[in-house]
Amino acid sequence: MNWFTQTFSSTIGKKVLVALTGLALVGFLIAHLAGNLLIFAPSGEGRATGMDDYAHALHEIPVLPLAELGLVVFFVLHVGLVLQLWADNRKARGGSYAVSASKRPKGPVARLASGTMIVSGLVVLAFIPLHIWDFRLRRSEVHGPGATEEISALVIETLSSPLHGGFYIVASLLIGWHLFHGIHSAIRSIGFHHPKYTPIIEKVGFALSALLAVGFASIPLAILLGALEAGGN
Amino acid sequence: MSSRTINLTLRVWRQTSPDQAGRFEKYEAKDVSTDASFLEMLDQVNEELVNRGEEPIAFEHDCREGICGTCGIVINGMAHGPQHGTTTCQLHMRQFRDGETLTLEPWRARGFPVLKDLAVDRAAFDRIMAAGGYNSVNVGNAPDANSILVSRTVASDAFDAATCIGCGACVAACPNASAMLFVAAKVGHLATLPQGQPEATKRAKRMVDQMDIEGFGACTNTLECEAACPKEISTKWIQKMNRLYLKAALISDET
Amino acid sequence: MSLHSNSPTGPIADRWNKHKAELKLIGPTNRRKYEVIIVGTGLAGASAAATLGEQGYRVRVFTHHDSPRRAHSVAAQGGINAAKNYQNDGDSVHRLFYDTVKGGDFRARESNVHRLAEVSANIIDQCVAQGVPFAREYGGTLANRTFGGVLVARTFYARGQTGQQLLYGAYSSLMRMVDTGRCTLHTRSEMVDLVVVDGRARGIVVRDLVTGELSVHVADAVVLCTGGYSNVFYLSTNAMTCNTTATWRAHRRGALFANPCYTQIHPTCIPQHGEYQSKLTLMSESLRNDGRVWVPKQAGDRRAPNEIPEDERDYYLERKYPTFGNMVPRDVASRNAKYVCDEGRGVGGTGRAVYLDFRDAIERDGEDAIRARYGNLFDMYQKITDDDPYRVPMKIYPAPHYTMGGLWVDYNLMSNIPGLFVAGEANFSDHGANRLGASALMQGLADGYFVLPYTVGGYLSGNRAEAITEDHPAVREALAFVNERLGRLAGIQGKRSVESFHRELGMLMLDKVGMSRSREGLEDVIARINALRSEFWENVFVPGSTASFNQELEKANRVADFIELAELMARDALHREESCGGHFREEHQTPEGEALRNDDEFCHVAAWESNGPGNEPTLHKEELTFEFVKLTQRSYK
Repeated sequence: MNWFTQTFSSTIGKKVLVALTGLALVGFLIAHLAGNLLIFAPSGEGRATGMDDYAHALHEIPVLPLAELGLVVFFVLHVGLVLQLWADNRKARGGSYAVSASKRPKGPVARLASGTMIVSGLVVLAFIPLHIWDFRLRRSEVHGPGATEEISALVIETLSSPLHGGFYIVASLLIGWHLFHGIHSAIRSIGFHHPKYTPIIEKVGFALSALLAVGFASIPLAILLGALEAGGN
Repeated sequence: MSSRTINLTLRVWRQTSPDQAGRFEKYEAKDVSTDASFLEMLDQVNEELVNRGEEPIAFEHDCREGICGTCGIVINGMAHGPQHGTTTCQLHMRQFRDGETLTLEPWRARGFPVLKDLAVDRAAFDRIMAAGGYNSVNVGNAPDANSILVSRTVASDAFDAATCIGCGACVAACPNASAMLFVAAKVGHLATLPQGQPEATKRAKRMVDQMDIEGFGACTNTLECEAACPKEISTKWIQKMNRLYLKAALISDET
Repeated sequence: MSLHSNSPTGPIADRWNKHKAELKLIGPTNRRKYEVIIVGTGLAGASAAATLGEQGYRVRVFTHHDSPRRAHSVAAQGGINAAKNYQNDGDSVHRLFYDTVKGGDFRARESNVHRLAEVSANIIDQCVAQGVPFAREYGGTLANRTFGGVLVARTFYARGQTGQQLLYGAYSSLMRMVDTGRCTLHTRSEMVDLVVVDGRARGIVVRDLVTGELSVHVADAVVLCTGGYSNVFYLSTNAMTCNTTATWRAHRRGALFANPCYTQIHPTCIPQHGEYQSKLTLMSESLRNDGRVWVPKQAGDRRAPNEIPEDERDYYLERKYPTFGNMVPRDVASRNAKYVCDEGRGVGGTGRAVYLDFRDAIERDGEDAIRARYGNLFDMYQKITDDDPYRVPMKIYPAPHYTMGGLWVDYNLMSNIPGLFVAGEANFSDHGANRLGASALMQGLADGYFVLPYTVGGYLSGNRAEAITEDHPAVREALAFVNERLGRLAGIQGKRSVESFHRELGMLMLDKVGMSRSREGLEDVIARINALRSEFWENVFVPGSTASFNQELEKANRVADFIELAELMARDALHREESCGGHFREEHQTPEGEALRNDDEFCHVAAWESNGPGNEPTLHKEELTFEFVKLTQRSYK
């Protein structure tokens, strides 16, 4: 093994990669949410909503496929390493305790968030193929490759189904839940600590995870409540 | 100080040897003074067992003043029991209610095989220490102690890490049986002081590598370790170790 | 047998250098041909192992603990002395030497004590280089505090955990040598006998505490650093597994045991609170820097401490010893606590406690300053007693803590068995009849870092031993002896637990061979100890087998040796018709109740040769001469 593979096959190295890919994915989510929220804005170019303008502009970018590839690589790395670490950690634990309890003063919520990372992660993982099918593959099938005009209409149509929309809401909240532990954990894993800034960063992380959860969930919720209808608002 | 006596039911993990399966056994602890320590309560149970001709419960202990790091029992799912900043030997029975049932288990981790009952083998910690947990300075070549000034804050900070007693509660409490807090405390203690600088990155790299060889898990920042640590060592040392490790692995020119 | 201390002669300040120059050396490449066994990994053992390893010897290290870091040196709280004179308050090597000889009530060997004072400064340098986080001043220099029995501040400390930090320093150096392969570490391996071949120490018998397996390890020299024997009192500040087995087995193989009656009863411990109690907890002597010791003036005053007005309190140490006040040496402080309790003025539920009050210090310096100095000690006190020492005075009482006696050694720290070295608390040491605070850590590390590395080499260079195998008759005999003994212990299957024997022994010892001893009590206790020994070997119950992890068997083997040692302690106390330091004979005291020495007859080390249990031991005397410190009546007034 050379120094590079050795470093990133150590427990710390793996965790650093999980953290960096995780933080990159958070960056993606922020941009994604910003684009999504434009569904609530009017179009400046005569389309149905601001989201349609955004989608149009996005697809004009020539390097987009490259960025998408990068996203896939980060995602696969993140999930792959996490699953490997999860298996290793279970092995390290050996047996489990007959009685399990925590001594953390902040207790139950934080413990639940860190303890359910694998669950929230796997649900989100299950959500992604559906999501890509819904708004990428299916759309290409219906409207041909590169079609962008009808995205907001498609969103509203797809998420009007209570089951479908409901799952999107659950997935959105779980992403927030995942990041509630994930953001501060990632910052720690890359080795950042400062007595002045760590508490601020933690609070910002919590706020960001809440914002992402609420932001993403707001769209299916608005659709289910009838606040967003096809053909503009 | 108000002394009372209480009665407890104990569910204790009994295991004859490392390769045999263990099981829980029930014992009654009668008339336990609330001023007694947890281990004195176990002494009392053991003396009764011996008087009945039975084998007493094996548990490890030595100084009984919270500094040697020998003792350690998971009590009701909590390493060293419910009180914070406390070793099992310094836990007193006034922390418990009359009639309570307590479940006593050994540290559980692949890196800490059970030897007998509540006693586990923590030799992995020594092997990690041997992999660089020191300043390489032979007797005879130390300069005058005051020749390198160390600010009071730095010395005190280093002490906060150096106070680790190597009991293994961090591993026991971690859902991943990670030994990061233990290793980070040693790495951090020496890397904080000027005398530890020459080997700071190399030490971090070697100790982490050994930690991985011993089969401890990775850190998922659940912070259970610092909550269980009887010396209340901060997880900030883990971040420091991560930085030093990355520096050693990616930036240092040592190959 | 005549005893030669092998002390150099001439001006005291030159002796160690002269001696070092005379010791023969072994070339660096030849050292790896020699093998040294070290038993015990406390300050003395870990530092000796590390240093001999650094020099190139092959070192095998044995400890009954699961890790070298657990040795009881870890629990020393207050600090370590060194004649650095960083405080510019008149300290010097000579003053440390003088204070130690005087503090030990003129019963230590001058040459040894001076060497100790000489190397003390280097210890601090070495520890700082290892990364020991000593307390510092804001400017970055090392801080000092004062300890009992001296008028300078020469004690270096790391909060209330100095022993822990020093041990971890020595332990890390040891682990470095394990890393290089020069030291081999055997944990959970208890020495249960010494192997003597042709009159020389050549190895040890070891029991693996996990499997119960016995094995023999042979070497060119054996170094015992196995600590003291305060646990003979059952309740002491020592850790639960501290024991005398290594030193006692060496004694039974011919090593002389010196001054066994010199025991230190430490004045500031948390009083006993119940029958179930398994050990006593020390509160660092450094507390006496700010705490004031007092009891009510009136016997039987049961009021709460804060309700007793100032003029009804007796600050008895300040009253009797105006110069040293609360900082008198440990033996003086302990004895006075006993006196006031005997007068019925003791406090607490049992009446066997005195107050250590921080009220005035908190008023003067503020609670935060006191917390910074003693926070961890106060927390520990509160955890154990459920009392808040910031509000209510601490209750303290003396408890057995340290043993100045131990195996007799010469200036080279070698016992009368060639090749058997003894260091740290295990030897009869440099502290005479009483050890000053913060001197135990100094001695352990001085022996390990700076004395043994020279003297062991000096011995080995002239004594290349013949190779022996496990088939050697002496090896086979030792192994068979241990096998038989452990088998016997497990086979008695009597009615009484080991614990009950130990508890009974402790009560006898504390009562008759504790802070105050008399001819009558000692004669009585010797008979009782003999009876207890007979009963032990007929009626002890050890569950489980010898070939397994068996903590009761471990205890039984240790208690059996404690019982034999107890008898020797009583005999030594009976022989010493004087009071000195920690040894107080009621028949020998000044009109004010201070210890009254008898320099004409007892200015000697009493070194005892074993003739087997129940038989009177043979006394050998090493006369002590004082050329540089004048023999005077110790005064702390």
